[in-house]
Amino acid sequence: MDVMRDLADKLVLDRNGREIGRVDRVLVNMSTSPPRVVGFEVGPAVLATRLSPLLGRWVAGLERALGIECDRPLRIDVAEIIDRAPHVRVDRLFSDTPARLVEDKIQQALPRLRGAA
Amino acid sequence: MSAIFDLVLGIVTSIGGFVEAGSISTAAQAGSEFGFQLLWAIAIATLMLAMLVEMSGRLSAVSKRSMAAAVRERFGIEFQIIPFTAELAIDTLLLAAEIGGAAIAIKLLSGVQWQWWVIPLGGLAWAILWCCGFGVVEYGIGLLGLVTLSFVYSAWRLQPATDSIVASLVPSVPQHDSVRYAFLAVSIVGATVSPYLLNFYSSGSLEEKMAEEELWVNRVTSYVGMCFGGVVSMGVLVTSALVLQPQHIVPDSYEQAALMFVPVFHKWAVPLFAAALGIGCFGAAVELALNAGYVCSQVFGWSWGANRPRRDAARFSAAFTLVLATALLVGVLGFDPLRLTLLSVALTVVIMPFVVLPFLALMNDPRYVKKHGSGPIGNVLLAVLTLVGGLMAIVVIPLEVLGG
Repeated sequence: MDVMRDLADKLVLDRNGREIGRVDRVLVNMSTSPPRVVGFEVGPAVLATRLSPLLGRWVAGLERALGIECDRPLRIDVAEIIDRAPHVRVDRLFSDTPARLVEDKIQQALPRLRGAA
Repeated sequence: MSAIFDLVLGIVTSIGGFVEAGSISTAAQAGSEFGFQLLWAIAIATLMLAMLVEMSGRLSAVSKRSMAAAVRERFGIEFQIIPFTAELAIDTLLLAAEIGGAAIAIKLLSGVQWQWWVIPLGGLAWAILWCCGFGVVEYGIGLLGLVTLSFVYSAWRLQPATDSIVASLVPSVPQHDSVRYAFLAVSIVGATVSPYLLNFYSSGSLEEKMAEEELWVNRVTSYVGMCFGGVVSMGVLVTSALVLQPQHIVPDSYEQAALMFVPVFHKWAVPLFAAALGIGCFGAAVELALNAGYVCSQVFGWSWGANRPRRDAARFSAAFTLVLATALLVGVLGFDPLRLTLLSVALTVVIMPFVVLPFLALMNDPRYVKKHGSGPIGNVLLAVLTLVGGLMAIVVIPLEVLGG
């Protein structure tokens, strides 16, 4: 598998086509020869760590402060990948991911006007 | 028939949505200070915009990805963080400037200080984004924006010398104040080729589910719509050159710029200028805020879409709400909208290479555009113009700021 082309930074969809996030970190088992992709992670702290470890720690702290750190980062095994093109579709449901918790919290904060119905 | 309807609607709304705070202020100042001499900057900027907008629509129609999403996938977050943060910051400043421009338009009509209108206008923009779909934002505001054609009518009635206009389409050296001339040229390019327009257009193509077979509609809409839009912008410059320059009025406020309509529209000058400015600025503000939601969602892989129920795209809604709130804060702090506009549009040119060059790479990558890649002439032209503009901006912005 060409990791950079097929997986890194791709959009991740659940089995119904709902957006979960993007592939923020690819997990590679370096103890095998050749090294093997075993899965990937989705989450803002993981993404921020790619830019700077310090930024990653800050974002992880922010997640804790907002009470949304539960089950983060979302780790998905390579066996759960249903499709890789054009987007990465996985055998998960959006409602079972940490992203659902964030969406729920925002919905509570934003007013329930007509557009929200 | 539907394709023809889409085509006409697209062209008409492109014209109506072309002029906003940036283009009005830069063209008005350019006309009042240098006559027709900077018309070439509008012509070049319009050509660049038409080419880039056509490309962004083509990218979406073929790859089914917006520009921001494709850049994240192709170049990774390590690169994208630069254009993403820069664009978000400048868009927030521009959003504050556009709301300020719309607030000044209401002040022109009501006499009440413009700062009082910032929060109500922000609330109205938010309500439109919250309650309406993409069609209302794009077509509704674009159709209302046709009032900006009053600039073209005004320029036509003032009977400018055609040969002078044609001669001004070729770049020339100014006889005075060359730094100011270069700064205004850069600002005109920045006001016209706003990076937000590219992602907004590509996201809009996805919202409207543009298919690969409709690429010809995209091409005609982009080139015809943007070129006519450029004519509106030229109308501002020509009117300003013919009315304000002979009276040595350099509009350092929108109130002064409104005077350019007096010889043609007489008692209707101020209401008409206020309507053109207000609708142009307010429409751009709504699009800027919506695009902030688009960009954040597409970079991070959230659910997005103006046509989606807000409960299914809560992070998208939160993103445009937050950016709008930040811009309102800037507006309430009382920054002069005209100065904020000029600074934002000039800064836009600095970040343009970070936006345009990766985009050109995408437009030549068959994994994204298949056989619909861009030609060498377009690639080279856009790359050279973007780099020259960026370098020019880096030189003239500090000179202009230091020179007051």
